[in-house]
Amino acid sequence: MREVRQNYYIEMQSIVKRYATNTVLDHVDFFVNKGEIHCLVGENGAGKSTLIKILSGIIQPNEGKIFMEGVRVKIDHPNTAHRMGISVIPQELNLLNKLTVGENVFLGVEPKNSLGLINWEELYRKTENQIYQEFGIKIDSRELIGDLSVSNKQLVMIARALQWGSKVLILDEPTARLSKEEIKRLFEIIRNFREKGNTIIYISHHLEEIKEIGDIVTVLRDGKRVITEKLQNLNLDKIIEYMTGKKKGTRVSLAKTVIEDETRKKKLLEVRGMLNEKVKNIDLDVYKGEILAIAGVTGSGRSEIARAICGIDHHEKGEIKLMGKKVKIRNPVDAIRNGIIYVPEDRKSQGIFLKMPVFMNILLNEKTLENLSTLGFYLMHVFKTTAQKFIDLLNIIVPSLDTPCLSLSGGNQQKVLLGKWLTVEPTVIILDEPTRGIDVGVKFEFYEIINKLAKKQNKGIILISSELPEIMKLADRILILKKGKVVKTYFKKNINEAELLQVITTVEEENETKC
Amino acid sequence: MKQNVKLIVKRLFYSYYNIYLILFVIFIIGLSSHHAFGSSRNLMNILRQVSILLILSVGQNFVILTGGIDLSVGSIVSFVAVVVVTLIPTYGTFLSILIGLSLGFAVGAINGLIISKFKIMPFLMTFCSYIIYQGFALLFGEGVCMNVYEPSYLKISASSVFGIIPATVAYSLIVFSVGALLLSRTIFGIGVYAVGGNEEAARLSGINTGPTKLLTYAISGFLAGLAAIILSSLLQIGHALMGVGYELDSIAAVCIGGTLLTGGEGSLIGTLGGVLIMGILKNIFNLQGISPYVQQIATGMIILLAVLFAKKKSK
Repeated sequence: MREVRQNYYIEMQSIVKRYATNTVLDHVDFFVNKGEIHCLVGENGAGKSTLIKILSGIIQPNEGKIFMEGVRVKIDHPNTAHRMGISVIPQELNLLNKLTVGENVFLGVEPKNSLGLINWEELYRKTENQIYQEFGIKIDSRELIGDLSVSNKQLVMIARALQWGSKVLILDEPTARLSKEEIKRLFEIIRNFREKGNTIIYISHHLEEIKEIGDIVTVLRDGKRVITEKLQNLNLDKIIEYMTGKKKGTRVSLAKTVIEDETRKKKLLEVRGMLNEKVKNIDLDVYKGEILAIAGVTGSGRSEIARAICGIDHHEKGEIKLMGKKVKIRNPVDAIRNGIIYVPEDRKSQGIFLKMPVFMNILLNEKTLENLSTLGFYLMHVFKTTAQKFIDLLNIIVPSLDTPCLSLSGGNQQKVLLGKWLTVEPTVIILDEPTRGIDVGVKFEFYEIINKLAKKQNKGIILISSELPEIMKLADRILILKKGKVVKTYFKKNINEAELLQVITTVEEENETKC
Repeated sequence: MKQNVKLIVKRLFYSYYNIYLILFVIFIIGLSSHHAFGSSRNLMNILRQVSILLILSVGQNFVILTGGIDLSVGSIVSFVAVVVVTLIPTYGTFLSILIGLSLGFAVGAINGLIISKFKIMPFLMTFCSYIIYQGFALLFGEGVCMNVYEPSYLKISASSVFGIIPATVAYSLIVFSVGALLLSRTIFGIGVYAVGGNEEAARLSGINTGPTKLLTYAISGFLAGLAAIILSSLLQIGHALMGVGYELDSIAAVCIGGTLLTGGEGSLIGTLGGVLIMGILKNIFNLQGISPYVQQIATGMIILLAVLFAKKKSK
């Protein structure tokens, strides 16, 4: 049976994707014309990546149909997508670093000589010619991919897609790590590609770029399509309004980042001139009972600031004062002993010990273990009663103290992780994406906990989050990051969600404003 | 909830009981296969034979729990045995033993130091040590059998506790108990599991991952030194090849005992079961007069089965 339809080049019709009870895509229609640059925007969690993963065959939708040039297709594997000429250039470029440029471009389609062996001469010559013709730059095709710059890697990735005969190029946040010049070059390549009648799907947080390069935009919000419209008919404010679903109020001038009653509270944490490869001269303060949010797009250095403060990554320069006293933090142990703790973003790889029992996970940090033991020995009942206290405090649901964390839900795992750090009675708590991958119900429980920690227990909290509603709900002050620098600081009352989104996605690097 | 209960039952059932179930089955097979198997003399003999392997496996278990591996234990046994036996006539029993134990500890610590400091893969590092210390053993021992005549040294293995438990068995049980205590009741033990389970998370939690790893290799080396002394006293000789094969036997025992080679999961109780399985099998083979070559094939297959079993369990 063949359903034939007309008009659109790619037609994703009424796509539904659910994970357990969580609906990520709710009957989304996504129509793309041949030869257009179609932008896809939305806040984090809106469903952009899921939609793209479905189109590129990485995951399967629960419902919905996909048509290519009017013909119903089933994209059940990335290879199927390749064969149909759909290529994704992901944010994390998946090239083989130990192979040369030429080998990467021709991977799997190497030119052969008469003996059936790879014709290396031709391979390298072709690669260089192709890259030169398409992009107008020279890259040594015998160089190892690992030695190339991010921008050149991206070009190789695109060259490979062209080699495969791709007609649809999906670019996911392609400019996140590029310089202005490189972005310009990339845009030219994209436009050239379009001139040849090919199609581009462009995903980005940077709305100004989208305005510049795109023809048409589709806005997603909470797993639903809000609108598909020609970009010339829209302005930035309108796009932001669609993305957040909120009308933008009277615009607060960006200059109005006033320093408000400096004397209000006690300063807990003072960071000055924090500097390493990822973090550029960061200054920040956290006051007693304050929730300071750090916002910025992916790759802006949100987690890296926390990692530098807590001694996880080393820093070249920088001074940290805790309650007015200068402290030296060279490793996680120093940070923990000083009561500065970091609850990492990726709990499975950096936080939880999946195979170890719950009670051990709650106590597993240097300070708590030492407090609860004598000469390195501990008593099991002391451990268990202490852990039980925190399980009750945070309302963690566990079948027993001995259950391995493996079998807990994401929300409960996250609570275990938070509990573990509360056992050290910290002064400053840095929470990195504390509610990622957690059910809505538990999410609100977390908000309450975070609020209580700040307002009742007077802890200083740094909240790193990519979810703007979460920031708007919790934060007292918001720090905006771009490329490892603080570009703006706002008091929450001076900004609304739509404005915040605009600032994050559009503000150019300016002189930092100190708070 | 139901799933959790199921999981707990599964873990309890699978983790140790199965190993001891297998042990029990093998024991029954042994009893029915040969009349001499069940004699108290033979059983004591088995225990005496496995005691060396148990000591080495305890050390190996520490290392494997951190996600590492120690291929050098066999060579360290040979090296230390040769050195101690050479030293006895001049330095006397006590001092020679002290030197032997320190030597084992030191070479183990060097393994650990290089692994944690330079981030060398444990397999590579201990593989090099395996070659190096085997070379040292041959150099000092000159490849000949060196007899030990010193009575106080021979007494180490010849005496017994309460007249029934052979001294070697007692040593291995002490080592086992201390090891179990370290693993299950000390901060160091938690660190071992944490490093093996998730090294990055352990580092973020303020665990000193480097020293923890270093110490496990030092323990393994120390126990190899101890095993060398007991073995040379038991056999009344020192020989440059006397430790050959122990590294693989100890790894096998730990694997059969259910400790994952990836680290972070396992226990000494399981390893004890693994050691006993290996020892009893060998005894049965010997009683049946099966050739050592066939024994080797069978041992390899049994380890493979154990690993396949462990794989199934973790699913």
